Amino acid sequence: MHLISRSLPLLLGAVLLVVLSACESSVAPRADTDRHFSLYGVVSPDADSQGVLVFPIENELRELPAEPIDAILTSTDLETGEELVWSDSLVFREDGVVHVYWAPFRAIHDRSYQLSVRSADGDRRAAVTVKVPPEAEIAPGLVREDIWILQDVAITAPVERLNFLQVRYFVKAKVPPAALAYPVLLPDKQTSLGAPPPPTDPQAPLPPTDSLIVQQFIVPVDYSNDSFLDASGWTIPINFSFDFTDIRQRVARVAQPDPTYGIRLEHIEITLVAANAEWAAPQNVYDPEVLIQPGTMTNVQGGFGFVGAGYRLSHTYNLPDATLTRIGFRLDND
Amino acid sequence: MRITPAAALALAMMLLAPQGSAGQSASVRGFVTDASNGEPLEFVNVVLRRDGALVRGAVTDFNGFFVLPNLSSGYGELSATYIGYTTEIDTVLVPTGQAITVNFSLEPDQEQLDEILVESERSTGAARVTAGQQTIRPEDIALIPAPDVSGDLATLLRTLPGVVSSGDRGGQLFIRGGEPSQNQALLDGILLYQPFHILGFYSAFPAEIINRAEIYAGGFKARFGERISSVMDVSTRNGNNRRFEGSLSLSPFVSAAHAEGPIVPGKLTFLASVRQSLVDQVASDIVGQPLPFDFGDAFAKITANLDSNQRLSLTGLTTHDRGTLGADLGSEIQPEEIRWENRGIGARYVVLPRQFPVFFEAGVSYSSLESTLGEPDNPSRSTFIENMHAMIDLQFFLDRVTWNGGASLRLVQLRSDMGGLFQNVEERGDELQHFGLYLEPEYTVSEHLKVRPGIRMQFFDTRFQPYIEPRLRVLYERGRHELSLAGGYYEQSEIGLYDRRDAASVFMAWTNAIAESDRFDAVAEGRVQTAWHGLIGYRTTFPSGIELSAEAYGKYLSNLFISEWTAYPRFTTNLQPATGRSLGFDLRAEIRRPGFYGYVTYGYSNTRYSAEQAELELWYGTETLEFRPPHDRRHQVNALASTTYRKVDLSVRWEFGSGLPFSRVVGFDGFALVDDIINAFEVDTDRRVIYERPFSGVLPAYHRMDVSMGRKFTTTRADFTVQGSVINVYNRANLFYLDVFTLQRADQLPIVPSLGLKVEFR
Repeated sequence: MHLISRSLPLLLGAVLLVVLSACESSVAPRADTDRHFSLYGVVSPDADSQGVLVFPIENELRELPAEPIDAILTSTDLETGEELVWSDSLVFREDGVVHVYWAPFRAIHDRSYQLSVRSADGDRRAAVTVKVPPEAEIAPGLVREDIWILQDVAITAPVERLNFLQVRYFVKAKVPPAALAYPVLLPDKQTSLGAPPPPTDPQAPLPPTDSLIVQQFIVPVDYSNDSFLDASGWTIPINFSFDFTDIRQRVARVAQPDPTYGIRLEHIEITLVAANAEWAAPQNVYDPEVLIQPGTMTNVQGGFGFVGAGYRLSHTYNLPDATLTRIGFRLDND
Repeated sequence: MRITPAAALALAMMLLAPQGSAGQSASVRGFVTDASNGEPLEFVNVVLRRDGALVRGAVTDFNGFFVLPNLSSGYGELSATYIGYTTEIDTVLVPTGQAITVNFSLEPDQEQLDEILVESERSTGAARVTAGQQTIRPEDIALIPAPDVSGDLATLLRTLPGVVSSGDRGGQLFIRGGEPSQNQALLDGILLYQPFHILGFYSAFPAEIINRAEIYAGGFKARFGERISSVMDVSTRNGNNRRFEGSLSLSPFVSAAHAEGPIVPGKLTFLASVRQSLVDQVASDIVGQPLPFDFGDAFAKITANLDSNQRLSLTGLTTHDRGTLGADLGSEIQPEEIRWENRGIGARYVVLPRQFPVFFEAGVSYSSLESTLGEPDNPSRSTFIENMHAMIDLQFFLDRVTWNGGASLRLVQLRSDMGGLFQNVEERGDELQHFGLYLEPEYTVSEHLKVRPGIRMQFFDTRFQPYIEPRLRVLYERGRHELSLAGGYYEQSEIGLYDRRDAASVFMAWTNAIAESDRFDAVAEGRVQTAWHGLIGYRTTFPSGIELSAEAYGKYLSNLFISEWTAYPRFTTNLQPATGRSLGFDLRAEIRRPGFYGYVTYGYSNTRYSAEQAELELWYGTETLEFRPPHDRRHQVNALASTTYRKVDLSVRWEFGSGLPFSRVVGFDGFALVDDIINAFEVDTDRRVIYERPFSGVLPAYHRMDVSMGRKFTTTRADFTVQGSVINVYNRANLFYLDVFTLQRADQLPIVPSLGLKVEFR
């Protein structure tokens, strides 16, 4: 008994050490997932062949090797049941290789396609279904004169979304030569070249008229958040009066335009992407820092990424001289 | 907390106005030192008697300094008494309206040697915590099992509840929810930016040079500023002023040497220490795995006793560290090497003006840190920070109040370059100026109650719009019970950036509170980091040698700047504002018996950060993201038992820490922005990390047992100490580092037997 009581602490200590050393020390650094592939691309009826980027979801951060990946991509026309197997194509980039799967067919308007990707053994799968928007055109309506000069522009078919909608004004102004560096005037004081223009002093004396040159500016105005859909279809309500004021300010930011020449409109171009319903970034912001977060804009089942369906639409036109004069794009003495 | 310039001026005038007229009364002050080595003695009772009746008494502080203010003129008998030393008695004449200096040098009393050890321990100890403040002396360090015979402050700090370390590797301490960059580490007033070596047992503070260390886990005094989490104020010894001493020690981990002695006896002393790691050469063979670490430090101090009223000391140190922390699995991605070097030099001047009961201290210092990460010859990340510092401190002694006040000026220069693979960070550089004023009277309200309110005015970047930092410390002692509380407001300008997505990220880049965001007001206005601290503690001592203490705390942090969350696999200084809070409590039980010392401590901590990144609402449907930062260790247990059996000292320590949070990865893929009718063959792509919700994973718990056994052999010329130790007795595979990108895993040290020898010459 005495021996047992003396040995007990040692025995307990030994048991404790064995228990402690057997405690779980491994870590599960990877969360379980049922997502296996990420897909990016656009199915377009304007292209003769379709292409989609395919990234396998891997356990390790690495550059993909220049060899085929274990992925088979097929597309199915959900109306006809026609199935195509897409080809893998290696594209070499500075930061490694990417895999573009492609197939030589032209997508048909108003038709749905399912793109399915799977591993050779079929264990890993992902799929996305996209519906190609119906064929449509841009149809400017009549110019209305109210307090402002307005025009409603219609889309002739019931497409589900109008993305990246811009009304681009091609204007001319007589400006100092330095303004040549800023051909596209974006709304946030930046230019298409990235560099902010030097500030101009509106009170400064105008340079001699003979040193000025006639410069064309492209001034895009974003109408993404202004278009609306009702029973009659899409309407883009253009307000030329507002836009003229905005354009005049943007031009003045990069140069002192000659007021005797004014801001003259050459033509208007409306551009947009007729898109499928899922092609919608949160708050309509297509910022890579936002959209890179997995799951933020995805329509891929069993994976991540986004595959859209759509096509570009554009329409170029001009306004009658009288309308231009009333807006301010033409001076009375022209 | 910002105030207007007018209010600041009024407050400054009020603080700087004369607070009394006690300068005309007489006083006696001086220093008490150990006659055997000249080191200051703390807690010495100094008493003035006249005709056998007690006139006034005082207790020496950590400088060995005492002052008896408000005396009438005349003769008296001044005595200095300290257990373990012979009492010194001197007859003094106190002249009218003057301050006289009387220094004592007490001879150790061999018969009381054991008692002095006991008494010394009672001024420190595991349960001796008062409102977040704990004093550590070298003898406390010696109790902690370590892989070599020469102790280090780092081994003890890692055992404190509320202190989370990065482990055996890395050299990072998180104190009660704060981050390493929010800790202020001072060595004789010199600010050290990265004071811990790459092997977690070691720091720039070897036990050989330490006189004492004051650790403030929060609620620190107004004397300290510029940091928002904690203070480690380490004071070094002056060196023996009677005779030369030295020591050499050798272990598989470190070789060390130190020397001290009088250059001019009684006037000028020196203390020097040097250490160099042997881990890579020796310990790695014992462990059976590569330990690619190289580190070392050198320290030197010269102290001049200019006269009985003045002392000047010069301190210099340098540290170096180099090593790879990730596991080398032979893949194409080699583990990155981290290097850092601390440099520091400083001078301190202490004077007791002849006319006033004032203790005056002035100091200047310079220190720097250079750190790199990446390939040895081509680092991808680097940071450099240096500062010049000048300070004055004053203590003005009145009858029931001691006025503490001072000023400091620090000029900081920093730059960071974080470019490299998967990174998109620009080079950053900045110059900062910090100017601080503080006033902190300590009132002895009654025999039992001391109250120490304080206020610090902190000017960042020489703007006359100071930040006002109120502080308070209260101590109530009655019998064996002690109740303490502390609180305050703290601000910090410099930011230490590290990648929170790593399970154990060691490289920290220093930068400034920046004003480059049009998305966040706090960033755009360049607001500094702030914290509110509140602590309340209770401690009781039983005659049986048992001491218990409990302390609860809360820290509320604002204007933190943390890396933005992104799925791009990169290190980034795109900052997002965040707030944080840490709540917790410590329980400590300590027992001292003849031949036995032990303690058990438990710490609970709950830390949460709340990030305000603009994209969060789009990603998670919430404006702020609350998460557990990677140093949020919820539960900690530390136990130590130390005894002596047949002249062999035996120590056993066990520690447990619950698992730390980390961000689990679902996988890696690529990303392309679909913002038009893109051509898949031409569109730009990036690699991408697919994370779970940030910091929702938990790493395995950490626990380990260390033992050490040592014996000292004494000869007439030298003492020999032989120590054997085993670190991680049951060979627990504790995780140190997990690279979630490459799945590289590095563990803490496995079982490590070690044998060390130390020779002390005298």
